[in-house]
Amino acid sequence: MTKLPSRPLIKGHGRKWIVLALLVLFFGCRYILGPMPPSPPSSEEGFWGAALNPTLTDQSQSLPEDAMPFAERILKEMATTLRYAFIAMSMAVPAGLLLGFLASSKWWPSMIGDVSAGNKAARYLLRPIQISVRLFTTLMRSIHELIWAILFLAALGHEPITACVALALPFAGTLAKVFSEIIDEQSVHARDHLITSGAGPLQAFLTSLIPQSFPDIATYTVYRFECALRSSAVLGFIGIETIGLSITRSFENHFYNELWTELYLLLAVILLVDALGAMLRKRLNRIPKRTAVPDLSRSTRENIKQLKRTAPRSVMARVLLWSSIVLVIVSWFPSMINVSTQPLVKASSSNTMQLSKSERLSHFLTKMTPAPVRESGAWNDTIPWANELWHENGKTAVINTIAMATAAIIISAFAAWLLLPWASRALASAKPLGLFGGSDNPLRNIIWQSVGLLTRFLFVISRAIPEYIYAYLLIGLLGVSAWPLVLALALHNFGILGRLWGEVIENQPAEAPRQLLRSGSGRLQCYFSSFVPASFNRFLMYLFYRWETCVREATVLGMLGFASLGLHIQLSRNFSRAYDEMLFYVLLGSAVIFIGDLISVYLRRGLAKA
Amino acid sequence: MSLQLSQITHHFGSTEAVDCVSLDVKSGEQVALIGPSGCGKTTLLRIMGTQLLPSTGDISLIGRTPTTLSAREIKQLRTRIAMIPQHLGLVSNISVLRNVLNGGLGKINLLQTARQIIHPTRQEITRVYELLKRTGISEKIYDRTDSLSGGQQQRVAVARALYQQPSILLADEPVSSIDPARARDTIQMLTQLSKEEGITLVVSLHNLELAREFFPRLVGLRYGSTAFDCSPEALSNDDCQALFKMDSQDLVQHD
Repeated sequence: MTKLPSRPLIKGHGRKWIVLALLVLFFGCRYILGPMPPSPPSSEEGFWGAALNPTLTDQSQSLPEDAMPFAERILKEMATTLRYAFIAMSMAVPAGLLLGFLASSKWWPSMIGDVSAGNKAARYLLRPIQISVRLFTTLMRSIHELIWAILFLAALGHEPITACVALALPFAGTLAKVFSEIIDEQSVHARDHLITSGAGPLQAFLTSLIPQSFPDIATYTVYRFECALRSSAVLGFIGIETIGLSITRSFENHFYNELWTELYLLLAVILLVDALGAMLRKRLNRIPKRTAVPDLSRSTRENIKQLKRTAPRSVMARVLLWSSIVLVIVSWFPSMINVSTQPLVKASSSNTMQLSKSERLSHFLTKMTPAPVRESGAWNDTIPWANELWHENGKTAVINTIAMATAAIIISAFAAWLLLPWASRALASAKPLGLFGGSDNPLRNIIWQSVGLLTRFLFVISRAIPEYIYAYLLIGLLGVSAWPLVLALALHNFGILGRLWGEVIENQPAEAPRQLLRSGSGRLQCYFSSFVPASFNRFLMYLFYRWETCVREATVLGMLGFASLGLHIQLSRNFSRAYDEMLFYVLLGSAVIFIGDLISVYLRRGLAKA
Repeated sequence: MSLQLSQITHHFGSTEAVDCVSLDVKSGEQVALIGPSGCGKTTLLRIMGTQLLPSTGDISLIGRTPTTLSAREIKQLRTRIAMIPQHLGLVSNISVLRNVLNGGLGKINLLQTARQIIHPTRQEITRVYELLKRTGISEKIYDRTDSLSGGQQQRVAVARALYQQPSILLADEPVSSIDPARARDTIQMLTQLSKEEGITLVVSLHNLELAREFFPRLVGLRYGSTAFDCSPEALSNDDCQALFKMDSQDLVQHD
């Protein structure tokens, strides 16, 4: 095995230049996006006040008698949000596992030392499969779930199952990518050993790498479920009956007390899933130890039985697994527990006014063909048509989208960078890094502890709410411009960067910073001159990774009304039903994401220490 | 004859790891390979374990010549040779039971493997239990492997090797990471098991004392070639000192 030469950490001046470059880049984006307009007067009247006064009853005075009461309605919508997230994940996880397996090469016949295991020729067959699967999953990811949903709903009709499939597609792509990365990161000692004792490569893969990657796969799946929940909530904004629908209605009608109840409910559920994920991670990282050794004086069979009964098990992981299986089944077939919900697939009506599914689809496909081609039938006409669209709107839209994502990630990076020391479990403590920090004063302990808790909570809350909902509310409050969208992206990513960077710092060996503290430096000095330099590469890696996701989100946030890709997608769909133009912008967006993905992978690979 | 190496050479790039070694090991014989680190012990063991092929020279393992075998035949040969690598090659987050069962993968097909993962039969479990009893850790059968101590994990690897029902057992530095008392136990266990089952045993060792105490045949290696090949009684102090001397010279050279 040849190892890549390990790359050195970026040195002092390099770091300064990078920080400076980020600042310059930010002002560049600020120039492109224009200034923030003064906020429209009176639009936010009562908005912040209502935060302290959420309601459980309808604010509307003009509801019909038989309308469902508010509390019941939002609970039902929250349950639907969960249900669609479960259905989407139940499709995305198996697909992600299968595609992730195909995208990995760790189960292929390979050389162990000098001697190959299995048929080497198979590799020539498997390589093209792997490459096409990787390309396919990247394509799945490069179209945002909301855009998949818009496409599918337009093509197949307004059915919940269509929205769930739309959600599942990019999620399966992301899961496949991360699963294959997790598998590829595992140590191959055990696999190689099994192969040299005569096991086939696939057998060895199943019995060593799969169990090894299980904990990471499980915790990532829970995190992804949390994301599915956010996306499912956002589906409400395009008319699917999830909590997002009530959020739009309450906001449009200025029912701010209702709105805050809905936000708090969504926040609570997402925080709960987040906490469950954290618990699971902790549990899976702890090695279960046997506490009781049974009496082993009986027959072999009896002894084995006793040992199995008393074996240390992680109960929590099992409970979580089985309850999610049950919840998935209930989500698909709610009639099993006698709950009446909206059917996932609408029964085909005999109403002649409504188009059948196949008619709808063929109609959609016809409209998706570029207009000049529809008239002339010559595909050559696509090029001038696309060229015109590109110069008319496309170019500005692409630049604006990228500028939004870049401005947002830089804001969140600086915010997270400055707040990180206050969130760090190691530093935000009366005893920084476990060192004696002056006489024991209970008040100081409490103050430091609450500083840490509050900052971490700030990170958690800001990442719990989806960008789209932030953007929707901020556009309403601040008026239409790029900046509410940038702020929305920045808010959400600030929370995520805070968490990812926090983990980097926690995983860093503490000896060097401890030495600084011992020689009399303060917490902040310690953070800036020891933690930051040593973690700078990883910080940047995560920055690029989040930048890539920001570009993805920025394409859809435009749907809320700023001249970027999302807006043109929305406009061509809503007003002119020009699906051909919409497809053009969708493809343009996925190309931007695809390229962003490649750039990010390239930069991260450069930063990764081999 | 269980193992026959004649004038084996193996080089990685331009470095000769094994240089013209000839070694015949009879069925059921116990051999200790001794020498300082970097003397070619691991490479020689990996050649015996069909992981590396000799660059030149002839090799015969249980009557087969690995260089001429097809992938399928290599697989069959490998099921009869058990190796305990230095890093043990255990899957840390599964039970001891499953790690031991993994020793038998070469004899079952993919479908049976899937069945075994989901539901190991009572016979399989009983066999594992009996093997673990022989290595002294039967009460750990259902414990997670990484909850065991280093010495105990080594015993899991031994049980996994025995589950293969091998004709040859190879162990690479089995006592390098455990304390002296346990090291003695482990070596004793390995030689005992090999005697009882009639398994050919080749162990690489740092520790000359242990080798002298438990092995009827010692093979000294230095710079990839045989320095001596004799019984512990016939081993002269000069031979031993030569090996030790190499050690210190090596240190000087590398520093």
